[in-house]
Amino acid sequence: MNLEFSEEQKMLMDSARGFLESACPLDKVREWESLPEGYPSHMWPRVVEMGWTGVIYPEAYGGLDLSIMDATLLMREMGRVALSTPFLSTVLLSGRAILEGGSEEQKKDVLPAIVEGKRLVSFGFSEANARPNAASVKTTARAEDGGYVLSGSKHFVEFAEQADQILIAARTSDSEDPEQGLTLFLVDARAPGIHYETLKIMALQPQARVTLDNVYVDSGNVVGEVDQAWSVLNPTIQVATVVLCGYMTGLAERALDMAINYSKERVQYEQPIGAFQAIQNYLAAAWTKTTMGEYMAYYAAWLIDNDISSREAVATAKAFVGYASVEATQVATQLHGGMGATADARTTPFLKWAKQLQHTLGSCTYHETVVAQEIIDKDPLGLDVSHSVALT
Amino acid sequence: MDFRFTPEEQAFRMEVRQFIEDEIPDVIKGVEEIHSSHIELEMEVVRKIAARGWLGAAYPKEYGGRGENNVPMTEYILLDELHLGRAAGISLTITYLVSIIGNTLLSIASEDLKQRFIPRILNADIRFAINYSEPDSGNDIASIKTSAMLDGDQYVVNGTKRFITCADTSDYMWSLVRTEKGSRRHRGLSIMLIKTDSPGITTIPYKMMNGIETCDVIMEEVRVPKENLVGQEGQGWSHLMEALSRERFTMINFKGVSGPFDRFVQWVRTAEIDGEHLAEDPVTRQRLARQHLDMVGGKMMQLIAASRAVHNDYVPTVEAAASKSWRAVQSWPKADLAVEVMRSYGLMTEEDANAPIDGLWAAEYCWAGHEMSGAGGLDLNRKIIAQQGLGLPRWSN
Ligand SMILES: Cc1cc2nc3c(=O)[nH]c(=O)nc-3n(C[C@H](O)[C@H](O)[C@H](O)COP(=O)(O)OP(=O)(O)OC[C@H]3O[C@@H](n4cnc5c(N)ncnc54)[C@H](O)[C@@H]3O)c2cc1C
Repeated sequence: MNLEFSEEQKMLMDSARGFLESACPLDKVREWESLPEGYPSHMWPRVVEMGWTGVIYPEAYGGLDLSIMDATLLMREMGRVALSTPFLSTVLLSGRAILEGGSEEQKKDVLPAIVEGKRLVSFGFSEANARPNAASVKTTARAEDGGYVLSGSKHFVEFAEQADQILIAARTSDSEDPEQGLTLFLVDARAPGIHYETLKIMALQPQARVTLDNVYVDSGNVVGEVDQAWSVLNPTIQVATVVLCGYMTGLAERALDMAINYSKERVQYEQPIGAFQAIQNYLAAAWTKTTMGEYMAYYAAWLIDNDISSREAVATAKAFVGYASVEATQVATQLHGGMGATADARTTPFLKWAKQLQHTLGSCTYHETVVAQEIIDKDPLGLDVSHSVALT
Repeated sequence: MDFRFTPEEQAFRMEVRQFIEDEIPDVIKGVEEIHSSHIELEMEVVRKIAARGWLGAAYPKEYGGRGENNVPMTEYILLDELHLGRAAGISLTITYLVSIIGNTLLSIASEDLKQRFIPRILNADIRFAINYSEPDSGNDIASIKTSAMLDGDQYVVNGTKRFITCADTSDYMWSLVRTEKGSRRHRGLSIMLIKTDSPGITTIPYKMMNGIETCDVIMEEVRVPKENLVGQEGQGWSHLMEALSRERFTMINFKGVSGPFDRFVQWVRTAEIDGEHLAEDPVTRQRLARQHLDMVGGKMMQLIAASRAVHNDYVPTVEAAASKSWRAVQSWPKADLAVEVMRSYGLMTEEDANAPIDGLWAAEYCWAGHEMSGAGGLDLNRKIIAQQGLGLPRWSN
């Protein structure tokens, strides 16, 4: 049992931190909040230059072929500067789904283009009920003229209007089991019949509702097997959820750093507010939860990297980190007093992002229902299992 | 990062588990603390553990140890399994002996004390009580009043100690006393070993609400040989800090909290009350899941502390304080939840033969009171995190 980072991981984190701290100083991050395009678009080419867009793709497609753990560490660094990019939708979700399920031809077409920053692919999965499970998908695709006709609507789609393509999950057949009958389609974002309605959301990120009004898709653009998309989507969403926990951890850590520094400097009643025990209590509690959540994310990533069943660990990590990062950013805001409540406080982007991501890829409550299934309905991780994995 | 134990560590774990099954009698299982009434049984088990060589692996050969490296992990696994096997009392005895007192002796005591005590510790034929708290000195341990004034080659000890667990069943008390007349707070303190049956000592045992016993210890004109001073006279505070950080790290095993909860979830799966399946109630499910998150968090912090200790040769004071404070924070909520799910049946105690799960949750509820104070309560552990971990200013001394 060894929870220390490897030398390579330390180097990865150091170089990422060095680059991001100089490219994204806090004052800039705050200014970017008022950008008309809804995110700092000039940062994406720089992320591409760093090679991060290929972090979890094989070298054959121009990737770095690093582990899910490494990707989590990298995302943690991006979270530390609240950097808004299409990384989640394009790299972790759509690209990863194509890697999991696509034909060789599709992979060769899409993945190098993503790695090189030449293509954005948004992820058209979630729908009106805003849950990341199979049952939420109601959009239909009916076979017609050697292709499929898609109808329905996708909600909260990140970077939809900015993307070149959209990966759509739709129902190709009805089944008692919601995990059956789903199919993935890689669709041109400008195809006739696709409409976008920009959403106004709290965090600095473009999102849209995408309406599919009889959109025709050639059957060559089906990704993976017809009716079997859940076997691609499920592991993809699991991976993205864990890596996202890294980002959320980074947000929380940076917000706490700011709060710790501020409470050492800010003097009231003739002493730094950080000398008050109540303040120390808040910070100690928030640090404790943030650190636990950080390692819960690593644990889930490690399970995935080692092909060990991870459904419980992923849901546990996402729910826990969801609570922890929101609490940490709230404490950080609170400790900045009136300054923390101003619109241009340095903590504000972190506060908003933490709340946003708590609900991205499933809220805490959603993940708790998954945890309940795992610990109550299935054989528990519990006591009778062999203890070769440290956490059980 | 590797969350797996090595095959050797895993084999050791299995060996310990088998030992617990074969050698630990049921009457002392499920006991979270050392029960005075089972002391002899417990010591028999600890001696069997000693006979297997599990106690002295890291100790130098000249004191009866095995001089091995990389033992923190073995020590961690041993204590962890004892907690999982519901033999926390044994774990605590070992912690006192080997982790707190033995290790501190090794690091600061005179050669004479090492020779006298360490071999006996490794053979488990000695018992200690930890003798710090006083009626007016709890968290604020620097305010103790018990005095020990040198008179020739003996110290003369006077004072009253409170909550001294096992004072009535131990051979020696590992004691914090004031050796400099008129000294204040951290200055002038010393640690010494006081023989429990010395003339002038009265121990008064009493029960806590969870059934365990602890004692008041009244010391009047107690004579202690000068050689029993541990480390330097007047350096008691820094010696104490060293002993305390070992205590927090090894004594506080989160499995003591998560183990009962995991077993509770297992019980819920098949439990029925008046024909209702508890596992089907959505509110129950949600709340169990929520509590599970917090249990995993606690186990994780313990692993972080263990990993940093093993791989970095470092005393994980802050991580241990985080683990301990989390244990305090979670103790009542997990018991509240279990009792809530069990409805009024959760309030039945072990004395009622019909109590589900042997009345465990009424006991857990009462046990939680102790979690808030033992080994520095919630507030003090948070202070350690904030000041030592996050670098915030001191607010008192
Ligand atoms: C079952 C049991 C076994 C024990 N065994 C031993 C033993 O073997 N040896 C031994 O020496 N001691 C032992 N203790 C004593 C234990 O270490 C003390 O109870 C502990 O140090 C707290 O002291 P106190 O009870 O006097 O509480 P106090 O220190 O009086 O605290 C009362 C309350 O005030 C809070 N508080 C105190 N100071 C502050 C502050 N600065 N800021 C905020 N809040 C504060 C505390 O958290 C607590 O909630 C045992 C206690 C128990 C319950």
